[in-house]
Amino acid sequence: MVLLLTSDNEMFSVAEDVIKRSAYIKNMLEDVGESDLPIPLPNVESNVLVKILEYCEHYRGEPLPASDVDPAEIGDRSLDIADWDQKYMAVDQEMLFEIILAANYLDIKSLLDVGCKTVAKMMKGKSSEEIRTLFNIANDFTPEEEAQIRKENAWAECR
Amino acid sequence: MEEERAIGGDKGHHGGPIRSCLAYVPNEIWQQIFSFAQTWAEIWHDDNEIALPEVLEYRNLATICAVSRSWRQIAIGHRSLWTSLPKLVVSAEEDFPWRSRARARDGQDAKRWIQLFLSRAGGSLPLTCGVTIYPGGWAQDQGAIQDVVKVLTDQSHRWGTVTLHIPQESIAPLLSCIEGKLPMLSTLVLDTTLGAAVPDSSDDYRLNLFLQAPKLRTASIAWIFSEPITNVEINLPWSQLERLSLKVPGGSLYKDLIEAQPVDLKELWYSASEASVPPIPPTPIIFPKLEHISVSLESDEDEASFIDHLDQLTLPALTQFSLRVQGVHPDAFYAKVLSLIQRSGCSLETLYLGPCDVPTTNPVYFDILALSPRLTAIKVKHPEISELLRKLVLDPASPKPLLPALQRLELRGNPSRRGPQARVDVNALMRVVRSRTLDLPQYSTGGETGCVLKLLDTVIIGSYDMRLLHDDLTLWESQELRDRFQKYGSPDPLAFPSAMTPEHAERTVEKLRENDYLRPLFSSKSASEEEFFEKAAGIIRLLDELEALDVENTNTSALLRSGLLSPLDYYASRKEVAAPNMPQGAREVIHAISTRAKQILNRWRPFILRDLAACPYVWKFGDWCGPWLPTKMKRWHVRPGEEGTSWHGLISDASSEAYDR
Repeated sequence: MVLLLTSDNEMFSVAEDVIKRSAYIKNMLEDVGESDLPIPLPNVESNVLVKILEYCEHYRGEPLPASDVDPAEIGDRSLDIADWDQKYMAVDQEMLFEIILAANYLDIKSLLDVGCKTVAKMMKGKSSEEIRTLFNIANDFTPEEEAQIRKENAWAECR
Repeated sequence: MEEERAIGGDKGHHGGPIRSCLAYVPNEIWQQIFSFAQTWAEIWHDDNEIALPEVLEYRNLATICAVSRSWRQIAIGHRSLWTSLPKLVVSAEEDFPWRSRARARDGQDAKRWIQLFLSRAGGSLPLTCGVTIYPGGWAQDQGAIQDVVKVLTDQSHRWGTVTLHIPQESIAPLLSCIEGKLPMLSTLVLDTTLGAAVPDSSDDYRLNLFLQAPKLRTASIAWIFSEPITNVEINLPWSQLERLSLKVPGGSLYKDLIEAQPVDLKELWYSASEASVPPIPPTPIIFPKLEHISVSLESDEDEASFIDHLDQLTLPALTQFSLRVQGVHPDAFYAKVLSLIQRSGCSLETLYLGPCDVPTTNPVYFDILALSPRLTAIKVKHPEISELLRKLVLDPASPKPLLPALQRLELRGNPSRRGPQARVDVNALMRVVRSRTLDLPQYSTGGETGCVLKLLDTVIIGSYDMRLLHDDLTLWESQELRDRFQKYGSPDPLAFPSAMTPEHAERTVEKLRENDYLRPLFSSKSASEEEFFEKAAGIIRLLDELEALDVENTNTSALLRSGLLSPLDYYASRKEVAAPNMPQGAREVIHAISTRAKQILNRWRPFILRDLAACPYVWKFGDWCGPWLPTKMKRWHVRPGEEGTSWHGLISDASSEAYDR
């Protein structure tokens, strides 16, 4: 078992083959070897770790992705998300981004991929104004910049 | 153009009040999210079924860049987002005479967008670019096209992947400047088959433009020989290729490739439609990495020389083998293939041997199958399959069962589609299917079989009498699966309510499709008010009939076969429809139709799943949707947690699946 200590000081005891989906933990275990000391996760709160472990548990036993693959550059670019993953990602927006951040920190590529796809799907088909509303982002363009952008996008918009 | 800055990997900050967690999302994560935005493009049709994905792709990036300064900086700073340049597509009305309006992209707009992408893509990453020019478009405005294409060819030293669908006669004026300037090109698609424009000269044609491309590994060439040109010589750096697809009328390309001995070649597709392959020198050749070879020679000439050439090949890595030739004696054909497999020591996973007029009763054919225990897919094109089906019944207790790993079986009865369609021996076929699914001991536990025995997942049937197939399947269910139907609480497989006999179900599907899915209402070419409400009333009457159906006491596997679910799903998924010039009240009617279609599907769902538990085979009859589609059987199995996906796959249209292979 591997001990994990979250940022809010909760201790988790996790089976090694479950948490090894995290390349960060896997590398740490390989570097440090067996230890009774918990691995501190200062960037992950306990409620988020619970969700992360749910994911790792579900995919327990499935082959780990190749470590040298950069999902941003190659691989599956489709927005298809497996049924279970969709249900798993059916959380509020804050938790969704917390999962993405934790997946990034813990280096769980497949989870990061699913999280990014989920956000991309949320944006799908929406106008820039609708995306601002969705993520509560302010429109900070000056009128001149807006005019420039409108001009830039005229070709795409008119089709 | 405004000054654009690339930004580093610092924490993203947003210009206004945003939720706390978003403030800590690093730029590289936003970049990854944005990279998926490039894939938002969907199959999106205008009035006349012409896909327009490329327009949407760039609109997605444009939308993202218009959200906030921060997003704009992040997106613009991620250079690889911009390396897939907007495709240049040029056509004229004459290219699509059946369309109500031409889709000719304004060359100057495309040029501006390509330049914008280039300015954001930086100066070093390989570019992906595509040009599609229809012959009419080329004839109409060559000067403007050359002007835009020059923006691309000026960057030929950065081309990584290039896709060219262009008329043959445009190649020289557009591309002659790229020769010798392709240091990064790794993938080439060159297709001149969009239209048969007449070339200017009658000389033989020679293409050397891509001969010097040191990184070229993947090439796909599709070529039409336009009269009066009768001989085309295409020179590629054959020896360095890893993946090659050649779809040509004939010529010496295959011979050129073989003589170059590309030792790294992994995949080869070669299809010649008119002329036979010229004699290939009888030199033994080993392709140590060739995993996939597919050769199709449509010529009526004697292809004995090609068959003899098989004797020279040794392919130790071969796993996927497809060979279709005409005019050869079956004994010689099968003997050469067997010899090739034995000599190579390869272990095939897929096999298609297709001399159309040769039945698979030849004993050597079964020797080939016996030599390939890892075969997962075979395809047979001949109505005489009784011997094959008899031998394919799997006996798991046998020490050496035939094709223990078979997962996909494809049967084409009458390839020419002329004459009467043959009747599938459903009893023989389903003996094979059952022996490889329900009767396997592993099936009852729900687990996959061990390393040798695999479950048969798919059966494809084409060019057989589908009406008889449907009726015979219903009868087979009644005779062979009656016990299972009782066990799962399903009705007698032959218990059809009078309201929904198979013929009636088929007519209902036809009527649902006849209404063209109310498609005109969803596009700019709206129907008249009278036409709309007439169609809508017809659909509502059909929904009345379906709603009244007693599915609890109906064999829904027969309903499933009739293809009722996909048109219902189509209507159910179109609750909110807005189109210009819709008749008043149309939206409400469509909404009501959609709601009722969804209710029907929801009500049917438990009974359909009940019957699928009893009879776990999903048949989709392609011939009832269009004569070009094969009929497909998929083994019904649901992985835990994927019930929704499976149900969606069941009710969604079968056409995309049926097109594969």
